[in-house]
Amino acid sequence: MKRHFFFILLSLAGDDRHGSGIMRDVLDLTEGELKLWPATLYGSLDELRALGFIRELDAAPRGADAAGHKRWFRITPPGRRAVVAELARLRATVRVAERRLVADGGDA
Amino acid sequence: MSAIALYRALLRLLPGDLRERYGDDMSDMFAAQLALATGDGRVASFRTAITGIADLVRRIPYEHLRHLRRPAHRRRREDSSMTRLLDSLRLDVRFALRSLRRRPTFAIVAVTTLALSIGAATAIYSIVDGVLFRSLPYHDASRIVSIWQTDSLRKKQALLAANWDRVPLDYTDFLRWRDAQHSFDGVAVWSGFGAFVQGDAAPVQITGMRVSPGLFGLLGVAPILGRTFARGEDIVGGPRVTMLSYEAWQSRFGGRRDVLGSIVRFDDRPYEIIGVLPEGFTLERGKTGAPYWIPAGQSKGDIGLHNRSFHAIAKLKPGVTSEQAATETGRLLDGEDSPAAHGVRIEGFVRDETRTVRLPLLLLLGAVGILLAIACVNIATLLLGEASTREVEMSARIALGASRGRIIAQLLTESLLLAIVGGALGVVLAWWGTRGIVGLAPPKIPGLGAVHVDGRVLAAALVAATIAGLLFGLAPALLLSEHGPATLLRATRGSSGRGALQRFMIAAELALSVVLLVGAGLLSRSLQRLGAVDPGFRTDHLAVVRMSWSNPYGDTLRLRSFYDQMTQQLAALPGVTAVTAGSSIPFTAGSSSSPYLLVGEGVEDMASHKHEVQQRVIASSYFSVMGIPVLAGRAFSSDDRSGSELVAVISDAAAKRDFPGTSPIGQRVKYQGDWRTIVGVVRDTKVGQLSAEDLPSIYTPLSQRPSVLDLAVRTAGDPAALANTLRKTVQGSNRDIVVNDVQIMDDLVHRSFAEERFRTALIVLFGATAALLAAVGLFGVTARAVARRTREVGIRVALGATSESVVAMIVRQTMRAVGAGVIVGVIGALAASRILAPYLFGVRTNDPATYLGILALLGAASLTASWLPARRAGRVEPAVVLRDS
Repeated sequence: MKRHFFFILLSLAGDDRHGSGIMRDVLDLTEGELKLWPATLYGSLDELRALGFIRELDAAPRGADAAGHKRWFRITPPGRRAVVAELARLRATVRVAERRLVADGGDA
Repeated sequence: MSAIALYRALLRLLPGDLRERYGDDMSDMFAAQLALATGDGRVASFRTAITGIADLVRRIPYEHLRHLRRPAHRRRREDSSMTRLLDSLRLDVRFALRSLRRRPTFAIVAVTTLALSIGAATAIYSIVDGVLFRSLPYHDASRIVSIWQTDSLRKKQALLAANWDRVPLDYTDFLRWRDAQHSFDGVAVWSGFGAFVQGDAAPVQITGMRVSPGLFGLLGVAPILGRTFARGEDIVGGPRVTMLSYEAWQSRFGGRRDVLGSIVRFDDRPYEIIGVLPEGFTLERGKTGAPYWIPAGQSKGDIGLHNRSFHAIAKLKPGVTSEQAATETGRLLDGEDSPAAHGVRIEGFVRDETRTVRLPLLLLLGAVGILLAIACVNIATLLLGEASTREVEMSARIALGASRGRIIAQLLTESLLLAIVGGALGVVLAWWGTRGIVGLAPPKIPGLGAVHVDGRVLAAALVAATIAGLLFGLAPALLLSEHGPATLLRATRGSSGRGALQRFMIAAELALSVVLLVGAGLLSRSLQRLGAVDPGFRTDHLAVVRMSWSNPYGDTLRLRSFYDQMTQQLAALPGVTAVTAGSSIPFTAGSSSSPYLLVGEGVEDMASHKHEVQQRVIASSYFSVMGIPVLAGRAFSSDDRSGSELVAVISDAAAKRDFPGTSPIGQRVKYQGDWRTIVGVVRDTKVGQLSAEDLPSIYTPLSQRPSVLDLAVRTAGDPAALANTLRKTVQGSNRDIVVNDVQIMDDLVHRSFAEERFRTALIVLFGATAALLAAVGLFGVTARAVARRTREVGIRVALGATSESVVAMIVRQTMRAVGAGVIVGVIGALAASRILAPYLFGVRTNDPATYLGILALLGAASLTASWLPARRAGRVEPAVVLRDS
């Protein structure tokens, strides 16, 4: 899974958000390391929508403060499954890498 | 504001459905980020704008690809938006074409400027790239270095100074070094050898290579047939084995696989063929490799005689620095008690190979870079001018409801169209120019034969053209779109501020032109001086018959009688006025040098190269036939025989260096093991380069030092017409003789500064183009100024100004920009031309005549270019102007 897909899904797994909200949340999640610029952000949102991982809300969720934002996004069950599967894959990768580095006597 | 407009314009390039769905969100978000960044200062907001736009530009092709990959039934639904985009693009292109057709002069000038500059820059870049930057086609090429010994004592001697840090290696030293060194993964040497091989009819002279056995392994070159040389074969009396080049295998042995084991005879010694090298293998880039290769170290001359004739290469071990390697190599090659003056120089193979052409080529690249910059400024000036005349048109379109985005998109389409057409023509010019330049260039430049315009170079040129087009189109487009419809209503024509920007650009263009033209002027004057140098002998009506003996062991008596007989026989030919013989006749080939000793000097004076002299063996008629005046004493005569006192003649430079204040006549020198009496002093001659200083020389008579000489033939008419007769006569006289070439002295001298001519021709070409571009730009700007100020001029004329004074006023204003540009240019040229100093002969870098000449030329061109359009202003009818406004 592409890195920014993962973080967009992760961001939406917490809450429904609009574009700038996702951008800011991903920036927080990655400690300022991944900044999604508008074209990449909306392009990716469109891709995720086509994949069925997220959907657009018809109206702003109740209690949302950001008026004027037309588009809100929500993660779908397949999207949630995809991000969990990706997390498992990442975890497995980390395990394998740690085992190898310890076996080689490196300071893992 | 303008960055957002650009962002919105670029959004149009996204697939329709994505733009419709999220386009507004994207531009809103971009605007919000920009607004946020503005608080952090200009730099931050600029960076945000650039990053955001770059993000969008990167995304566009990706989104289109994604769109295409979608299932067909979904795509069809969305096709309408795609079609709309294509339609609007088609419309923009059609509109741009129509608009450019309405302004053919502008279009032609812009396209030509782009084509010329991109063509020239691409051609020069591809040559520089091919010669200097391309790596060798060998395994681990970046670690392959050249190894030379250095001897700083040689620096003091005019004869040896040029190669003081390029002293080749001796084979015995090499063996010691190879066995003890730890710095390299491999070391190898090579040297050329000449031999006669029996051809179909007559013996053919070939130049082969003698190499140490490790050479092929070091380069990672494997034979396509058989084997390479084994360690241990490079000893005196070792097995006589040879490898063939692929080309020799094909042409002389028909590519037969059973060639292994066959015998080739070099000078009648049999060698067994043991292997064939891969196609195109060579040690000199761009040149055909030697046809035959044999192991070095087999001849007695290689061992223990300090025969320094081997070029060395090595493959540096990873982690070892050149300095460490040089220290170790110096110790091993020279022994522990090496003289302080001796050392070792290690340099990357390509860098070493191209050391003499590196700076000149980079200079050319710099010159063509300046030309490209001038072209860019020129087009920007033109487009800015266009912008000012099209303000009204654009304002009208905005007033009629066209969005800013549409107008920017359309203006960008126009400039991109210009850039693409110009770039395409430039590529054609580059392809053509590269071939032309490679054809004209002196063959000395290594790797030139392999230079070609490749995809990499072309892609770079086209990207450059597109970026240039976008940039030049963008500035006026943004300027234009800032004006609302109000511009039209107010009907004010152009602001004076933009005129100032244009004049600034003209000044910049002129400044760059001055730098380039001064360089061209200095090189031309230098070339002129070079061509006027007296070589010290008569070069006209002189042919040189160059030959070798296939049987060098023939007895010396026969050699001497051959020259007597040949001289008489050739002199009897119709059209021949005189004939003589000499070794290393000036301008025909490399000459050799060795030292002599004066009375009272010993071996230690030998090592310091104190009395190094160029050496020539000559027939007694040499000086009179060549036209070299005897300054003191006498020339050789028939009395200088083998039994009589050994004599020598030295040149003026040798007399001044070695016998200052006294007459050398009657003095004795020990030369090549014999004491000789100096009987004469002759004038110095140039030997290979007209720009070189006079080199001390010694002449000894053929009668006392038999050697193989070339013949110099003085003719009454054109020597070239006699070339064939000379060749046949000499060739037919003795079956041991091979005539290599008949050369015409005037051609040889002319060719000796081919490199200077080549360089100068290119820079002059660039300079002339630069001046032309500057003049065109000036013309355009003045014409524009005149058009814009018609009304003002009309009023002035109505108020009583004469047309002359109006013309003068306009010319004066442009000339002020010209003056400023020229002053900056002269300062720049004074600084830049210092780089040229090593390539100038008889001209100083601040040569006033050159500067004045260039200034006069540019001044005249500028005056004409601004006066021609200004004249129109003088013809303005006040009544017409006032009525129109």
